[in-house]
Amino acid sequence: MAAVNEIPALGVPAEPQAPQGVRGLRASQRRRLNAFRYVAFTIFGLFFLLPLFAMIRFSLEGSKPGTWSVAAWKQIASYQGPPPLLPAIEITLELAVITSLVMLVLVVPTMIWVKLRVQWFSRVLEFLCLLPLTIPAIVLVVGLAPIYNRIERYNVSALMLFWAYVILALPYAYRALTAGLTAMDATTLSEAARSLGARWFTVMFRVIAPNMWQAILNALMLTVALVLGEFTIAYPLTYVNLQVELFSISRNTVNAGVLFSASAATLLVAFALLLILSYVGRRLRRGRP
Amino acid sequence: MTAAATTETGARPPRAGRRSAPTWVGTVPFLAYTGVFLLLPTGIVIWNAFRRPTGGFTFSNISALNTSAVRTLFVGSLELCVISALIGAVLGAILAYAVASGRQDGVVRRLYLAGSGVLAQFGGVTLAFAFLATIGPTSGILFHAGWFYDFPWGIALIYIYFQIPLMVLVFLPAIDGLKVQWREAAENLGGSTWHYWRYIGGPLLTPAFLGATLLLFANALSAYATIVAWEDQIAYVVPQQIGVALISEVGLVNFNQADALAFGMIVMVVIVMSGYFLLQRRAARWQR
Amino acid sequence: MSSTATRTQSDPARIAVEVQLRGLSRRYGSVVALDNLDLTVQAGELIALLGPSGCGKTTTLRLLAGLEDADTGRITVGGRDITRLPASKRDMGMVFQAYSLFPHMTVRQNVAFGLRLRRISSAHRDRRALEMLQLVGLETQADRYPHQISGGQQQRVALARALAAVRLGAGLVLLDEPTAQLDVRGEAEIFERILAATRSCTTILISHRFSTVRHVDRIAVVENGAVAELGSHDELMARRGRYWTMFTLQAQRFATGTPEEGEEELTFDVLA
Repeated sequence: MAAVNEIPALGVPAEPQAPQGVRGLRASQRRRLNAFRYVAFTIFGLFFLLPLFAMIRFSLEGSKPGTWSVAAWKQIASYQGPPPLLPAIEITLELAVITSLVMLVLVVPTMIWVKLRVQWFSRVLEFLCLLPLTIPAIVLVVGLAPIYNRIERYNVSALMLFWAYVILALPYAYRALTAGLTAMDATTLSEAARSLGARWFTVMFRVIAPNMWQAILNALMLTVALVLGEFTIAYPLTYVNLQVELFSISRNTVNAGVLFSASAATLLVAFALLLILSYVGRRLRRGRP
Repeated sequence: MTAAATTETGARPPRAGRRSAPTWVGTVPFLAYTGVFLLLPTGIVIWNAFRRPTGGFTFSNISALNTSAVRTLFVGSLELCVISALIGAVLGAILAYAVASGRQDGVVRRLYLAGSGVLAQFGGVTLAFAFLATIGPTSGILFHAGWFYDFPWGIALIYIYFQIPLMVLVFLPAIDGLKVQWREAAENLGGSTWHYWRYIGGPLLTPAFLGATLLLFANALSAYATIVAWEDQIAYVVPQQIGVALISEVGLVNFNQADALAFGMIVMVVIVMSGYFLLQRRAARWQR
Repeated sequence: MSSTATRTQSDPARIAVEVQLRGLSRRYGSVVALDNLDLTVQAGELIALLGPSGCGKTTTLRLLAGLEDADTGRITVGGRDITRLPASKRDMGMVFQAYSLFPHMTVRQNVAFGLRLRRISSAHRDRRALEMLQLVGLETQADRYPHQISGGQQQRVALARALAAVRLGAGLVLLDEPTAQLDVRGEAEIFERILAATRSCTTILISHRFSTVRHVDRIAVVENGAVAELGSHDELMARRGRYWTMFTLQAQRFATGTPEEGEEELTFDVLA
């Protein structure tokens, strides 16, 4: 961007009441553009918010139409179904934790290691991490079915889904982590640390990783959001997680209030995660020199 | 302590008296993991697509796809993907332009970007419920849409809901990449707004726009949870049928049909995504 | 110190115009960019607008080009009042500091763009484009793309493009720090070309480098949105005002060498 163009043409704020004079052409262009923007934001805003409001309103519906009640929200924990909701919530939360841990333990160190020591591998790494974007989950699950059949023999629970969930989350985690790695000059930092006598383990975990903690947090939140919303792998493999259970409830009791309260809750959680992330990120960015 | 010399590839010369493992060993855990849970399943799908249930190589699984029922599925997938991708792309481009033409650090822009990040992930079962609550034929709060369960328009509307934010996320950088100087130079040279878009803005944005549309297409193609939550009795699109074939309790779990269909999907998605990557590279050429 | 003596007539069909800026004011919110600025540029003159960042020189140029609207004031070019005229109808060429060229068009297509908009036939267009490229010495690069040529060459092409579009019979060229993004070598490479190509035009140049300002007919020192001093280099030095202060302060830093030999470029930001 030209540094001296003091006033970037697209970004001129709406002018205040200027003294009478020779004005008009560009101002009217600007006014038309602003009108378009406000109309666009209003229409799109409505389109995106309405389903969310409807969902929340539905979840607060009392037994008589038009009345309010938080029964549906209380039911999130108490709904007996069939099928009961709470076990599915627990399993999904556990899955979120396990998947995040594996992401932390497997993917983060590998990415740092490759960036520092095995640069030629980074293309392979990128390819593998972005491949799940090209292999849809519904295709992946067809190939996973035989593998999971083998695992089934050992009579394990839906927690085994985490193996697949890490794969699903790879592209999002990879992009978040790469952004963090490239933002800091990892090679220089590591060389500096090495010249001070640090061993590679120290470099990776006491120098590099702490410096990209926002990217790591970002990756973890994307992973959690993904696990909370996952259905496509669990359902065909006949495992039960939150989304599968919600689906089953909806097939049993078409308009059960708990469906909407649970869905709204999931969304609120994802949104809250995003807010936390951006808030923490901003606080630290301000604190940094 | 002397700094250990590192070569271009990061390989470290062996320390005297101790042989350290080559550095690529560090990639083994990751390779093993993705090998087993990503490459292997993909390989299984492709392999099984050409295997007889009793063993042996065959094309019959693939040719068995040439029934009118399966063709309808592929056509249905194409319809839904084209509709949701095109409408999502155009609407998303308009929204992206509205966001891009505002202040770079404004509240609105940040809000919409954050919102896009969340909404692009908001799909599947929850989204179907939300739409049911909004315009469901019996329960909609806004109004009752008799066409809610019609294919493809009922489900396309729901797809558009997550296609638009994806478009904004993918296309906004391209709009941002249009330098204000090009607009001003065009004006200075005698061009009107129309001239600018016709000769400069349009041509520059076209590769990015087409690429983004392809991405939306692939996204719609792969979607499963949303359409299953919307309608789980009738299979309109390929992913639904794959799910049915996997879960089916009629006789043996019908692996080979599922594999053949899945293979077909892989081919389609690979083609579309290749187009996307090529167009992205073309668009990036001018972003120097 | 070069003067009008070196600016001989070339491209005689081009007629330079006089430019008058009267009482120009422009505010952005609470920031006053221009405050009742008055300036008259003689036909055929090469004048430099000089001053620290934010003093209003870029705003002046943008108002002149029609890329912004003035709050108050009048702009007259060649006797015509163009204050209300939209930018695309004003007949002047502008060279921007950076990102001048359209990246998806070849050099030739870039230069011919203004002509294409006027629906001039393609044979005519190509010929004129080539003429302009010859003027800046780049006819051999006509079929290359902007990213394939150097920064200095890009700016030369931008100048050719600006000159090509200016209709025969009027000649006004605006240069907004055309060499700011170039290193010393890049700047040296093109500045002589700029001078030669704009000989028969009225040229208004923004700069804060002494090496560019050396060549001009007159200098307008802009400060706080108005013209503080106006005159040739010699006149301003004799006046011992702002210009004199800036110049001697800079010169003191080069007690032992000329700008070309020194590591730093002489600029006028010291008093910003």
